[in-house]
Amino acid sequence: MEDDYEENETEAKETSQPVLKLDKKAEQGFISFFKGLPKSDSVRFFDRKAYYSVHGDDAILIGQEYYKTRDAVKVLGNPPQTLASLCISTAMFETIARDLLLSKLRHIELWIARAGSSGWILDKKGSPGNIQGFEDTLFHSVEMVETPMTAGISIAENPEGYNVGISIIDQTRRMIFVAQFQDNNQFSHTESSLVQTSAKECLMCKDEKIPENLTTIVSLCDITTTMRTKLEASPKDIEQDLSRLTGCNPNTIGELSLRNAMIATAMIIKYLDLTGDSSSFGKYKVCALETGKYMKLGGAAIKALNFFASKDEGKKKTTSMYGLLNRCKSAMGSRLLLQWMKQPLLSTVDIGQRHDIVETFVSDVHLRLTMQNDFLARIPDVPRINRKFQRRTANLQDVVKLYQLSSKLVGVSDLIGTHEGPHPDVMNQLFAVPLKKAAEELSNFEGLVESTIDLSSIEQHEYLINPSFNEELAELRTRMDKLNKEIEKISSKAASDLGLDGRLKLERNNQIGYFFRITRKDESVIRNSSEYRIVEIRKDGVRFANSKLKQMSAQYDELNHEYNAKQTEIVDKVIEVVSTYFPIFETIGNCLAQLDVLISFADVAASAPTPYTRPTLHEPGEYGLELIAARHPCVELQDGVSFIPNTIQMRRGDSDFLIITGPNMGGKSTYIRQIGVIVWLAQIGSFIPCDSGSKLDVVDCILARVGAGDSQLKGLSTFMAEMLETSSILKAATRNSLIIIDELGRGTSTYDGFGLAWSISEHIAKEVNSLCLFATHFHELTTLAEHYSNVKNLHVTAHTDEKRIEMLYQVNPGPCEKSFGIHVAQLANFPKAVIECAKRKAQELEDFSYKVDEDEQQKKQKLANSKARAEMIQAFLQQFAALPIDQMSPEDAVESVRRLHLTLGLEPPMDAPQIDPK
Amino acid sequence: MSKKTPTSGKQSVLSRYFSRVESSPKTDSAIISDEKTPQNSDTKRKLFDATKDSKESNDETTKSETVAKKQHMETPLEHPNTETQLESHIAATNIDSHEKIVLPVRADQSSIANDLFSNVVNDPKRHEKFVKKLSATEQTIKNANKDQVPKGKTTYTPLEQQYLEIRKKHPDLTLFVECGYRYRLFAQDAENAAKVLNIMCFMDHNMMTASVPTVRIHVHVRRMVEAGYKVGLVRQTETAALKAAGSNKSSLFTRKLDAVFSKATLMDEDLLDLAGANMNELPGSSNSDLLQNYIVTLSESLADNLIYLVAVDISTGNIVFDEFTDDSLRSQLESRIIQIQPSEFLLPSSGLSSSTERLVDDLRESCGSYSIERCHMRNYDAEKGFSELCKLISQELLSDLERKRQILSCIAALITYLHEFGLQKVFSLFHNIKHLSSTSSMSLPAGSLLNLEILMTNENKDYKGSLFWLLNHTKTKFGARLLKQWVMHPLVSKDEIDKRLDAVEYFKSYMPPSINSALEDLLSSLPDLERGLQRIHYGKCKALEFFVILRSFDRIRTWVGRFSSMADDNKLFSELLHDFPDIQEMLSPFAAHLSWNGEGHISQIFKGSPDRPRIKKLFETIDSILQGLDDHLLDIRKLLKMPSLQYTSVLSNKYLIEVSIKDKKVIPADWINIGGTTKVMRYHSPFVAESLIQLAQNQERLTIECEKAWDELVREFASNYKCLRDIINRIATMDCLRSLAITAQQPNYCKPKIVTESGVIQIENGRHPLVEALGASTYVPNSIHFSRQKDKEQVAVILTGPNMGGKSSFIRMISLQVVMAQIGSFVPAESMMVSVFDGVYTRMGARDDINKGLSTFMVELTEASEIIRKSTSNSLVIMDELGRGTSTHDGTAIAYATLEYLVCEKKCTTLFVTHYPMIADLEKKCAGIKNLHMSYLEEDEMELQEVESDVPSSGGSGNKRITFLYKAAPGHAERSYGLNVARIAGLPRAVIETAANKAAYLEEITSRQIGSMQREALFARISELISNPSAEDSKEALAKIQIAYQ
Repeated sequence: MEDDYEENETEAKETSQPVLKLDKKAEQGFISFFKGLPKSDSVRFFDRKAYYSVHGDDAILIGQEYYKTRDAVKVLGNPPQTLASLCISTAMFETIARDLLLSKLRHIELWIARAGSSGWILDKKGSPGNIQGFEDTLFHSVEMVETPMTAGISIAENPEGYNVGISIIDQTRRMIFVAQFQDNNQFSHTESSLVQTSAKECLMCKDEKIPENLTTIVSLCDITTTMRTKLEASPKDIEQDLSRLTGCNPNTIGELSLRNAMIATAMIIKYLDLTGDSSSFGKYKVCALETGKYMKLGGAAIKALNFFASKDEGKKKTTSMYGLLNRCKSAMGSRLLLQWMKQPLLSTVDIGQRHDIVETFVSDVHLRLTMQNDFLARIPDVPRINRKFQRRTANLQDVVKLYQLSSKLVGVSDLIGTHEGPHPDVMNQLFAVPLKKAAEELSNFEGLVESTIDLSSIEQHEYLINPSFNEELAELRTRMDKLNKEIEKISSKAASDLGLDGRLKLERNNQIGYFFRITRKDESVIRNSSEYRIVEIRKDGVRFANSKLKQMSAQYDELNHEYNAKQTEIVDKVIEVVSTYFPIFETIGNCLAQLDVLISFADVAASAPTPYTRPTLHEPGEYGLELIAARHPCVELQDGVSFIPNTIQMRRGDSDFLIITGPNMGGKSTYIRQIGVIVWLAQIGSFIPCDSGSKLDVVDCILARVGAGDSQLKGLSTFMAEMLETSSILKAATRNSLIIIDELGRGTSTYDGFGLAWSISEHIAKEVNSLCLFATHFHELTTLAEHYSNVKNLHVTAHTDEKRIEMLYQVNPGPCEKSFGIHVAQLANFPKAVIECAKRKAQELEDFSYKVDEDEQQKKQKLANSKARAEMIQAFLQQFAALPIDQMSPEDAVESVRRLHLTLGLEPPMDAPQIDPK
Repeated sequence: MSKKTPTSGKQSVLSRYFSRVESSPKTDSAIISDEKTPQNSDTKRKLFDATKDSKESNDETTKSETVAKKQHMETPLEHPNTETQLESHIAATNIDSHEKIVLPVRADQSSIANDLFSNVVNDPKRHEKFVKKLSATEQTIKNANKDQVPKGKTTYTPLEQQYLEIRKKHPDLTLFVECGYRYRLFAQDAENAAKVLNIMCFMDHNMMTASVPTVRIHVHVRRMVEAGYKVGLVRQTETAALKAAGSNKSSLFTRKLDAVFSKATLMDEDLLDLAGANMNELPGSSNSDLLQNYIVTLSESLADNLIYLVAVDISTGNIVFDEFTDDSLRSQLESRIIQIQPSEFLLPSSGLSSSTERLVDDLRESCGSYSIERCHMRNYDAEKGFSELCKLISQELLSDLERKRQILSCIAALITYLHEFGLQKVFSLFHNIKHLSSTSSMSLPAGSLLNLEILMTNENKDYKGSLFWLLNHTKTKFGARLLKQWVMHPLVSKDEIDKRLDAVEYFKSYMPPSINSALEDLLSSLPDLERGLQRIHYGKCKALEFFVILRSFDRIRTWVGRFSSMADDNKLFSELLHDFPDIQEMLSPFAAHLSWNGEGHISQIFKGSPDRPRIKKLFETIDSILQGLDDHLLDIRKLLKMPSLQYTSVLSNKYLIEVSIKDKKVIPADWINIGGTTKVMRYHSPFVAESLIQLAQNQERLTIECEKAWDELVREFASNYKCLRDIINRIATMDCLRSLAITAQQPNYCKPKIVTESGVIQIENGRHPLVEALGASTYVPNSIHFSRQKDKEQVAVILTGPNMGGKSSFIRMISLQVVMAQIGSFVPAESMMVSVFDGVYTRMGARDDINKGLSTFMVELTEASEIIRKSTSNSLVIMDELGRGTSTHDGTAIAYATLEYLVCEKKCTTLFVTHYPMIADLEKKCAGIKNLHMSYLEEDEMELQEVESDVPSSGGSGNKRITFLYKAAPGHAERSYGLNVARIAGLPRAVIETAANKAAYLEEITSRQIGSMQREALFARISELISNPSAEDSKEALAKIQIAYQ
């Protein structure tokens, strides 16, 4: 196949797009080969040595998406056998493959020419959870942000719900996390496990009966599902595989008894072909997946808390929590932040420690800036370099990078250690001491680097071994230097012989070795010489040599070759030695990543419009929460928004269930979301956007049902999605959870919607007793507070007058007195007639329903009045209906009705509805 | 230490820790003395010691340092057996790595390593050197990245200087600088390009630099522009041979900014690629090719919310303008932006209201990501606009505009802006100007375009799945663009619609196959003539392109000539062919060169031309040089005594004199050796060398002359612009009709019948065109009958029914069919009768953006209000769950009032989807309102009863299913099965029970309310009647009421 194409030489540079050139036969052959391939969702890349090509739909997709022009797509072959084709340079391949895998969550395949014969074979596959094979290509020039992981799930139905086995494999850290647990049919536990571990791809077995909502939940968490066959999910070899991977006696792996978890593990091991890579044997560890250590977060909560900007919202940083919080200076910091975001802590001690450090950095601006700008901004991505060492792809440059880091450690640890902040112990314990210890342990490493690396070559961005490190090298170097001198002598002799002093150049390149060069005009000098032979004539001159130079040059080449070989040998050894420092660097990496994230938190806290403060944390269920002048961290940063802070109190047993009513633009949604965000922020260790003195309980999970998230794509109507989420909330909630519900019961009829809103809030208030915020437009729901003492009403208010409505964005106690819907309609410029009619209609409706704002007496009186009136009218109508009007004369008829009317003694209503009684 | 020192001390410590390179040795020592440490202790080890403040140890170290330094400098260090050292080192670690605990590695290893490396570890001088050097490297890279000029005197290369001068003049452009066969980028540009184009950038001399090959420049420019950069091309203004002959031969090539591109002004250079490829045959392709390059500018009168807009499409020469009053949400402007889909905005630097600014900013993401350029307010000058326009076109064309000062000022700004790109000529095509919101088309506001998925789907903003996608089978790009206009602006005149429908029918069924297939062949072969013509107009078109376009027109000529007589069967079609402009005449000056295929030099076109003396002269000069060379060969033959010698050519070297290696001694010394092989040598004699230089110079001169001539030629052709444009329009129309005919050929499409009465929609078994086309397996057809006729009057439909029952699909189906009919397309139904609607207004879905502080409800109501105000009795209005964003009472009240108003006051044809039970009641009040619901079946009787009686199912959860029939049926749905859904979703039983009770309670109250209200109304009516003087009338009325009540 190799001979079937040739590269266009003028365009071979990395900057240009290569062109695929095939002869007719090869072209047709390829087209029919390509068309004969089985259909697949993967994007297929063909490795054409110096570049890649894609074909068919893939070509069009890529042309459109990445080249922004279809001009890039060429058509192969002649009709009817044609095939769209697109060539991609290596550099572009990196970008495209990365984006396909990580952003578009597609599978990709790489095909290579079959060695020796024609045809193509599949070289490797990549999927969002499995980019291992492509990692080197993909992250050649870009830092990797998140390590994708693959999860496997195997379930068995039982009377109480499902027994779920879950396994997650982290190929970078070589860890296998397994867990098996009983889950409800909403799979809330499974969901939070997947979310916490940031899995990108989830394997399930086709032949197990996978409930539809499980796949829905998985896809709502933005995880790709890949179905596997029963054969691929067979746990038959798992014992052997695991013992090979971990290097342990299978009897010592307790997890083997978890049948479902093992099916899941087997599925991934096969999928990723872990046993095919013997270099990783014995390196894996099996651990229990500890989800209990962290707060549970479902996909819905992550959306409600605005972790990541949605696609429509554009790329403004401040619209998402990640954008807001990520001021990390290093890639490993950003990675850790992502992990922490999904794993808020539960222990007040651990959280306190993080707060201590944030406090330290908030209080000392200078320290913070120094650390960020002078240190963290310049540290290498340690885990990534470590991985290169693991996979033996590291080079001397990586060694130098580690050295650069190492040389700064003592300084940093001293700086932290001697810092006089509010919490010196924590700083010391977490950072100064470990870093210092690491630095001490690295002194040998530094020595090794200093003695082996040739410093002078680093200037040219070349990483070479210092010749003085090894006597053989040194000797070779001396000999080469000597030879060099001799060659120079030859050169000056030739120059004087030919009378070309100053015009004869001595040069060397890899193909020819040493040679002389003169301009073409001077060529006649050597034209008839027997001593000098022309090697090459080029535009820039004539290259020639004499036999002595040739001989010397050959010698030099030989030495050079020897030298390089020797050097490579030493480089390998050095790298091998350096890789034994892996554990130390791992510790350092962890330490620095944590430092980076915490400093980032401090930076965010200190640079907010109103600085964030440190909250006081209570054990779960102990206190409730009190947030003083709380703000929504993202909304307060939007242009043109002057945010009104609100204080909120939720006391256990007294006000742990809050119903929020009020006009729609009044910021109900923002209000309840901001509380969720603040609780979450506190538990990941950040300060919170509140005034000082705020207190809160640690919660075990945040459950959210917000927004009319209509995912028609997933075949669910709004209401069904809403009910699924609610149902899963009710199953997962405990007394220590925080529940946020916004506008429940909207997608169905008013009756059903109200019924559900009532019964669900009653259930939470009565049975579950979680902290709960319930924003609703059913004003009738506010009477719930009369039934349960732990339910309190809040409302957002607006100031209205005839012409306008002004939102106050202030949350006050008590139910909302009126709904401002019609006012908003007025504001939205509805025609006057419509507004009038709507007002009348609303008035009528109002008369018959609960009115909570009036005092009890008045309310009863009014109700009684209207009831009495209704009864009287009904009685009148019945009598009226009984009148034999047909048989009366017109006068009689009118008169008798009038009499009936008089006996009733009712005035016709003043604001009688203008209904045409047809 | 004093109180001040801690900070300064800290600072100094810090700077030393991180080894800042900028701190000079002096300050270093100052810091150190501040810390009371010896001078040369700038090493790591010293830092430890410094804290202990032990002078002695310091001195010792200093000594050992000097020793080590000496050793290092004098002889290479002795490493008796490095290898074994390393090996043992590794061995030590290997043992450890087998253990699971990782830490012990360090302990063992360091002890071993200590022994082995003792002499190197303690070399502080080297350590210092290393630390310094490495941070220095880091620092330079940092500096380079920041594009800082390194300190001290920088000597720029001449090229860099040239670049910096151009840069100074054009600070906002990304400059591609032509350097031979590559275009180079410098400094920040290089880094930006490296990111966008995925190319290498590196430090060269004083700046970062990157480069791309000249042959691919257009692709790279496009990618940079797409990424949001404004790109300038700096070209060489001299050619190599002429420069070598000139006085400045040793200096730099002169260069100047030659072209500027931004999103809107970048036109496809590669016009010829994929010419005529059918979009629908390329799956997954979007309609991005059809995005027009509109550049839009606005001006605003803040006092009365009046907005003025001018938009010009560079690539097709279309200009639109508009003036309108807008609301606070700028919904008018929004719908215009969505219609225009601009690629660029030119906004005044001040003078726009914040709401306008915000809208333009917000829409950027969702509307094709345009770029925004700012220009100074002073460019918005009406006087200047007028005078500039007068320069471009004759004044009488401007008479209409003269009064529109604001529009003129917008035009002025655009002209100023486009001047930079050399494109201001677009305004000389002023006959292309149109008023944007003309009354001659159906009003489809932004909301409707989005909700009905006219141009793109809501889900992924995809072309595939949109109405345009369904209808678009055009073969040419300009045809597709016209079709897009048709789709966005359906017709409102019955005659025109009928004419178009008839033409579509003719294309579908009656057109002779010979014409049809010839037309298809013709269309498939046409490149994007519209853009090509535009490029000709700007004088930016390349020779090859030009001839491709000429040939295309020639093909059109042939086709028209063949078939124009056969087109009498259809009115529109024959109109299109009637009076076809005379292409032949326009092409005649070029007839001789029509077959030119781009091979050979452009000068060939002019070679024989007698009226271009300079070109003729140059040809003669060149000929004589060539002749001279031939004559010279004879001399050489004599000189070398090789009578059969011929010139040879190798690669690009011509006129070589080749002699075998043994003969090389006969070559005179002043000949130049050009190269050779082991067997032969090749030379140029001085005469040959000189002649070649002359030849090259004259050829370059010829090129320059020919280019001038070429420009004239193109300008001559461009004078036919109006006529050519007319031809293109005609062809585009044929393409569109053909495209609609292809859509019409799909199974079970029918030709809609357009009626003159208003308010009629009679669809029998209609299907949702898009759902069907996307391959939904079973689609249930539905019928609908709107009419204003007395006996079967139906003005509005209230649609109720369970969720997921197909309500949305039903209402979309109806509105899409109406739109399709007025576009002139066939519709997927058994039969359709429809009036001409002046607008389709929709209010669906919820758009919410917490960050923008605008709630769903406000958006919802503003849209609704807009619809209420704009709609007329000839409009189709669709409201989906109006009022659901507020409390039940208010929601009901608003929905009720709105529907009543729409039907009773406005008399719009209305589709109203709601969950409020009370709305259904309006059916009884207004004759024109009918209830419909999406029907469904329940699994069995038992369960139905259970639901009716509101007792939750006692069986296990989830076993109860509703089967949706997706069929609209009369009457309103009794229940919306919310509780059933809740049960399927797995809510606890107790919760559902409570919910059922509460729901029943609320329902009871409500029905009591409704009853009371009706009785209250009757009572009022009776009260009124009994006070009526005419007893006769009253009795009749009373009797009626009685019957009604019973």
